[in-house]
Amino acid sequence: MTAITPQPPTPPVVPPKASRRGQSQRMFWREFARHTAARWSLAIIALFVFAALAADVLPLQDPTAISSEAYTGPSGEHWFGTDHLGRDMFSRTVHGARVAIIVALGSAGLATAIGIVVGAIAGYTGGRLDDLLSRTADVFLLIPVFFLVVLIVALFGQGLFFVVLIIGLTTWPQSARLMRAEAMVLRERVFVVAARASGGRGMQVLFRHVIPNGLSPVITNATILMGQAILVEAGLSFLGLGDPQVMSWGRMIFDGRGYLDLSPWMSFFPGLAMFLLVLSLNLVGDGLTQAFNPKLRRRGRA
Amino acid sequence: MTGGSFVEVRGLRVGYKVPHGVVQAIDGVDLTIDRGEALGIVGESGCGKSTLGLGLLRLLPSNATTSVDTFRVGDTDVAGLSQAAFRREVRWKRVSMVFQSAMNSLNPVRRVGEQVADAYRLHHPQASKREVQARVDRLFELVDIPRARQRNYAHEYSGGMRQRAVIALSLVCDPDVVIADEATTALDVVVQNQILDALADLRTELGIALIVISHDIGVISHTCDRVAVMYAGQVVESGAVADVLASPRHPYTASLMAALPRLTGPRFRPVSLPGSPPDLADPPTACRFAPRCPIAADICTDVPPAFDPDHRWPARCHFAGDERLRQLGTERTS
Amino acid sequence: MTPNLIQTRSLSKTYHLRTGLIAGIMGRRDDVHAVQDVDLVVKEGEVVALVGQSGSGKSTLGRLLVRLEDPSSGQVLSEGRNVTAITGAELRKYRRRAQIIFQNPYESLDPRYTVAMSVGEPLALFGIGTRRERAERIRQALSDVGLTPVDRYLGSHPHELSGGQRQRVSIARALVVEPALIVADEPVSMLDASVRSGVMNLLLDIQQANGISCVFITHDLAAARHMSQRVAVMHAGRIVEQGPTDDLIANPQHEYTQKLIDAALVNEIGHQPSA
Ligand SMILES: Nc1ncnc2c1ncn2[C@@H]1O[C@H](COP(=O)(O)OP(=O)(O)OP(=O)(O)O)[C@@H](O)[C@H]1O
Ligand SMILES: Nc1ncnc2c1ncn2[C@@H]1O[C@H](COP(=O)(O)OP(=O)(O)OP(=O)(O)O)[C@@H](O)[C@H]1O
Ligand SMILES: [Mg+2]
Ligand SMILES: [Mg+2]
Repeated sequence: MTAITPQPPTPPVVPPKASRRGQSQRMFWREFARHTAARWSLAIIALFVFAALAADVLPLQDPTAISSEAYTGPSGEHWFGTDHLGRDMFSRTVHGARVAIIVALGSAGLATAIGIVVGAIAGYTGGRLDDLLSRTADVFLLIPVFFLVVLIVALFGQGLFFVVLIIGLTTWPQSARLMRAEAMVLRERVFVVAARASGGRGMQVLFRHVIPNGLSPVITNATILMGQAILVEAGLSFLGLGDPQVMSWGRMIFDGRGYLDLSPWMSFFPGLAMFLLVLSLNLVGDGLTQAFNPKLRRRGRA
Repeated sequence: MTGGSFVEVRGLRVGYKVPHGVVQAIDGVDLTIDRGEALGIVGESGCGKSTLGLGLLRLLPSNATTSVDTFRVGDTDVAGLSQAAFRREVRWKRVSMVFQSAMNSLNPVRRVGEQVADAYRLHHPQASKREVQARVDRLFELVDIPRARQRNYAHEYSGGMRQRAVIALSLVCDPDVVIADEATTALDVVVQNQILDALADLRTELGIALIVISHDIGVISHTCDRVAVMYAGQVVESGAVADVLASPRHPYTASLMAALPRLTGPRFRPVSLPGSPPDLADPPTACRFAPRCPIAADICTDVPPAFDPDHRWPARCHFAGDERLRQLGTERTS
Repeated sequence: MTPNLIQTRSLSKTYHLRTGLIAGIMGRRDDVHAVQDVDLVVKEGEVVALVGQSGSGKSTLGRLLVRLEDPSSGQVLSEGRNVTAITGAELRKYRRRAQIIFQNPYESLDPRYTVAMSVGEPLALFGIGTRRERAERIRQALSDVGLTPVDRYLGSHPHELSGGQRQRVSIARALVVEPALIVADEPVSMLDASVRSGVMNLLLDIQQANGISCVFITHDLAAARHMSQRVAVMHAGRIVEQGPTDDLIANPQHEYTQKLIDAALVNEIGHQPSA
């Protein structure tokens, strides 16, 4: 992210008589619902969230119960088959959703929150503070995040909470960059100046007007961050660096790795679940982009 | 009057389909204009002025349905033309438009002169380089921008110069009719007058039939020979500027005049029109202005007023030319 | 003599534009002298019109008066006190006394805020009153600007309002903190001619009823005549002429003032151009 370059004063743009952009929530959802894939994806995500919340109360087999029926394929008894210890893969996959959702919400939530605050302050204040924050973000953007996470987790421990924290702390720069761009435009908007004239202190104006009006790209980005976080956690687990205490899809794929010829199901179903969830998150992001900028789509078609 | 005027439009209607019905933005409008004449269209925001211009050029969005009984330019029956023929023969070649706030939509990364040249080439693909340049020079001369400024970008122009460039764009094909939609609204008074004068000169010099769209009746009085006052999709009064503005016969026209602060004469308190314009998806059935009218009576909400075509400046009002209209806007201030 | 509410002493504002990398390195800078050596006095309860062409520095001067902009040199005095360099709490206290209304009603309200939130915001930011008192003051301000019945407007969002209604909300927002000065920066120039007079009359009524001083910025001398007792004409950052409105219009001294009058006369209905 580069420092602000002073722009020549742009001519005032005469707005359309009713700014038709994002007028009401209803219009927003109508626009979102027009994106068929995003609508279905939202349903799929809802299903995963439900699975995560209700895993314990659903009439599932005990995901940790070891039995002699190892390596079986899908059957009426075990829909997704069993693993090398004879545990029910369906039950395990459903429970795995919980870790995925925690990782997604925790990491992406943290990254987005940091990104919003850093980006908004950088863009709104400008000057030296902006330079400092932007440089910091640049550094993070240059490092390959996955290897950084691998390194830290390998050195300092692999609890789930810690992993979530580390992913969150390393993936915020993209959100910061988006928020900064919005803030730089918003700080010149008349209603933001008006809030200063009405006695708003810097931080008050930031939280009342700048951040809420600049959220849309950051929110869209958050869905993509969620997908990334799930993949990073899975990658860690696959390398054996995940939290051994929790049932994560990455861990299941890792466990199944040695038995691919005997029972490919062990890796296939957790992998499929992960693929579906990450894809759905990205498609929802796509739908949000469209709902936030209905003009994009129209222009695309014209 | 049959075929007397150069341009004749009869029975223009435009409706926009919206979720809760149809917004009848133009509801039966008739216009006539001669060569070298300027017709002003005045009315408040949302009354359908831009829709009128865009409708004549068939440039409305897809949710609009247009119908017109007669649309004739010279000897050409424009109403009967197919889309393709209209685009080929009429749009920009015979009828062109200066769009509302077009000065802000000039391409920021292309030199203004090149943009005008592009527009010319679009319609004259065969033209040689020399011809194009000659035409561009002529257009810049017409709108009074020094030749050297062709090389500038739009942001290096002042607002007034940008507006001139947009007018030049509307003239590339030597049109017979030019529609100027709020061509001066964003400009300050001094520049505004320069632009209006430039338009007036062009009209006499090139024999253009000019349609000036504005919400400011002062602008119309300065530039136009005739005026059509629009309210809620209809023309409510039309006639020679000298007649209509000297003694308006419709209460809406009278209110518009009384709302203008004046620089000369006694100080008075400008009248402000109460209420807001009707919902065009569901307008009042009789007189559309009745709910805001200072002289409305029972008949106004029951019987739609007729547009008396025999009067020198007809008005769509049961009390056209009422004495009480003269009292409007005479409340003095200190 | 009515005391001065606000006064400027050779107030100037220069914007430095970096002209691009190469020119910057070569040490070339384009300075814009937006406001130069302005001495302006606004008395208590008075309306002063600031007229001039686009780019003459009217908005910049207006923003300097309410201290939204820091002067490059010169002073702003409020009731004799120097407020040129105040910051922090003192600045906020000053801003409560000096409010500003912006030109573009489509831009000056947060699209996410309801009317009640927008009008109530200054009260919240300045920490005025209890929750209930604020609600009462919001209602009062809305009914003062003619947005009645108030209940119909409280929950509306800007996109549901017309330009004139939005501008009334902006006026209510300025009014609600009971300022001593309102700078109105071309408050009607983006509005339809038919609603302009309503907003101008409203501003005038409120100004008179509350004894508020007002700086009314416009490029339209006819509007200035309707609104003000005194006019200051700006040209290229300087005030080239000022005086009582009627005198100045009847007997302009500066050629630029004459130019503005001529321009306004051209559109005057019923006025015969001398040509
Ligand atoms: N694409 C559209 N779909 C639906 N309604 C529309 C559309 N465009 C315009 N309208 C409506 O049609 C009416 C006329 O609009 P139009 O733009 O012609 O008004 P106008 O007189 O040019 O106003 P202004 O002075 O603000 O430019 C308005 O009520 C407007 O809301
Ligand atoms: N933030 C800024 N940075 C650089 N130049 C500026 C800035 N604000 C204003 N200017 C310049 O200062 C000059 C005066 O501008 P100002 O906005 O005060 O004029 P104005 O009289 O209000 O014009 P208008 O009628 O168009 O609003 C102009 O040349 C403008 O380009
Ligand atoms: Mg229009
Ligand atoms: Mg200004």
